[in-house]
Amino acid sequence: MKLVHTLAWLFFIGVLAFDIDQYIDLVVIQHIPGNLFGLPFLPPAEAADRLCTWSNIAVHQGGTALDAVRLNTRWDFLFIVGYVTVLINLSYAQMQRESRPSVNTLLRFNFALAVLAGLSDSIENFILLRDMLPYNVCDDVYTSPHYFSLWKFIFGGAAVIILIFSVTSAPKTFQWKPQSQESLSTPSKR
Amino acid sequence: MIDETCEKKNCPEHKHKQALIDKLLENNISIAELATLSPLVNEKDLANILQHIYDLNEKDILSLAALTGLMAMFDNNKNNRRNDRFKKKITKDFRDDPRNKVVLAEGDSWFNYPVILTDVIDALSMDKSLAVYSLAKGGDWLLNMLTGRKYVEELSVLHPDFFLISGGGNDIVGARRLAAIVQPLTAQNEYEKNPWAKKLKENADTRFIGFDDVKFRAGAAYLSKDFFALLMFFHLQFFFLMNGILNGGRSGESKFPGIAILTQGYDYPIPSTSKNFGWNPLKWYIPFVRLFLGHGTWLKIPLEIRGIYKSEIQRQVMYAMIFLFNEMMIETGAALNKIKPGSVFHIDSRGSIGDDGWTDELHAQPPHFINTGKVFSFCIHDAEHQHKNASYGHVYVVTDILKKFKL
Repeated sequence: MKLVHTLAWLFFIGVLAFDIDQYIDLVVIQHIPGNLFGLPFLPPAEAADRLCTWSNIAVHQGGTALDAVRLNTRWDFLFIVGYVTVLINLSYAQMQRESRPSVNTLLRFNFALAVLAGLSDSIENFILLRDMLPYNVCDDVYTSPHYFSLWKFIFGGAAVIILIFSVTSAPKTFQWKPQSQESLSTPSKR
Repeated sequence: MIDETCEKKNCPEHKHKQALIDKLLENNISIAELATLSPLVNEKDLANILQHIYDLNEKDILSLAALTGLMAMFDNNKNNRRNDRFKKKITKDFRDDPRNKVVLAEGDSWFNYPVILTDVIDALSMDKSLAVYSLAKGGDWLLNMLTGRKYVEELSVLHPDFFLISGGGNDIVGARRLAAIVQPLTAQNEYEKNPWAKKLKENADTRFIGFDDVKFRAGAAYLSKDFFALLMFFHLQFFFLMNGILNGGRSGESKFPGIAILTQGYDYPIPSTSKNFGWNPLKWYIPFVRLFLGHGTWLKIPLEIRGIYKSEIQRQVMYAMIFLFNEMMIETGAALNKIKPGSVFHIDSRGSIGDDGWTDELHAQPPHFINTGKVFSFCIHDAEHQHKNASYGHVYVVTDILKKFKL
């Protein structure tokens, strides 16, 4: 189980590193115009226009910038699986240290928040992939995924805040100890 | 103690023991006879009694009780995490400070409910002065714990200050066994025939648990001969297990001087098949657990199989069962405390969960498990005060301790 745990972390870190590498390559090195992550929050006309622009820019790995973004969006599904697993895992580990019932309950709620964030993110990606289909680009066929993007950040953000709150505010030492030295017990009938 | 040669030769002592076991199985044994039988039983006798109660051979019973698949994997995962933390604690001069205590926990899902719920041992492990090593597995039968004897191996290695045990629940409700130990009302009232069970009730200290005699009597009338045989069998099993640890069993010399044992006996559960869908998002896990993890199959359906349909009567049956189970544990502890004073303590959760505090038919919502864990921790630390803060005798009633000490 420990091996599975380690492999899961390595997988998540690997996917994260790949995503960062792709972002640096497209935005920093090849100077693709426009914010890749901000696309879902643009007004629909502007977002459609940007997809059209990307479809006309060649990138050094071959194909267009839009092809590279499409590939990245597909890889993002792996990242989603990774961060949902990590959030659940961290919340689970913290649950076993969190003695305050209300915060313990919130950490359990994090399981649901992580899954909802992942679901919203997946729907956002499906909508974007549809928007990026060759026969939709530059054809004014664009559906904005911004509601799902917004929920993704709300759910994911809430989960992270709960986790950080629990880790930073949990009592460092405590014991459920009797304070009284005098006998409060009564004899048994047995 | 009857030795093996005597058993082989079928000597009078062995015959007498067999006669007592037969009486136990017939729900016909007196209090004095049960007291005589308790220190005489060995593993073979326990297996023999069990085969009669369950109408199965030992191999089939063990395969019925075995933990397999995903559940076993998640149980192991949780124990591995806990035991890693135990190792980290114990390697940092933990035992140099006499205020720190080492705890070994063996038990069922009240002690290890994987992933979703924070259970009693999770709560106990939060206490920084306790290093808790866990062998507990959700769904485990007391029978498995006794035959597996993993606790024996760990006791020898860890030499813990406290041994915690939670067992018996799955032996009653696992594999729909509940249907086999209840009976329709038309049959004979087996409770009235069992002087030992009646004595358990007479001896019960009900000041802290809000005892309802009408409810108890109504429920007890549905308990079959096999329930009382099983209850006495639990008594023998726990006596055998705890006597072995405290007094070395046959040898009479304990390898673990100074060890104390803590037991628990569950709360009155509510038979139900309701999925409990609701609007509180913080309780999303309740319908999830109820949909996928056996809710309804432990209590409600087996009771209905035996024609007990009314919810009120179902609750009365469980009330009587859990009341007697707790009193059996308290009685067993008291018997061992007579031999070795201050060695067994019971954490009494009866009435602590209430009607709205259940995740499913058998398991409390985490805040209640945490409360029970707090009282376990309290009891362990109360050793410094010679357990003067117990609710009464060797019993710590969860509701009483929480209220009295504002934990």
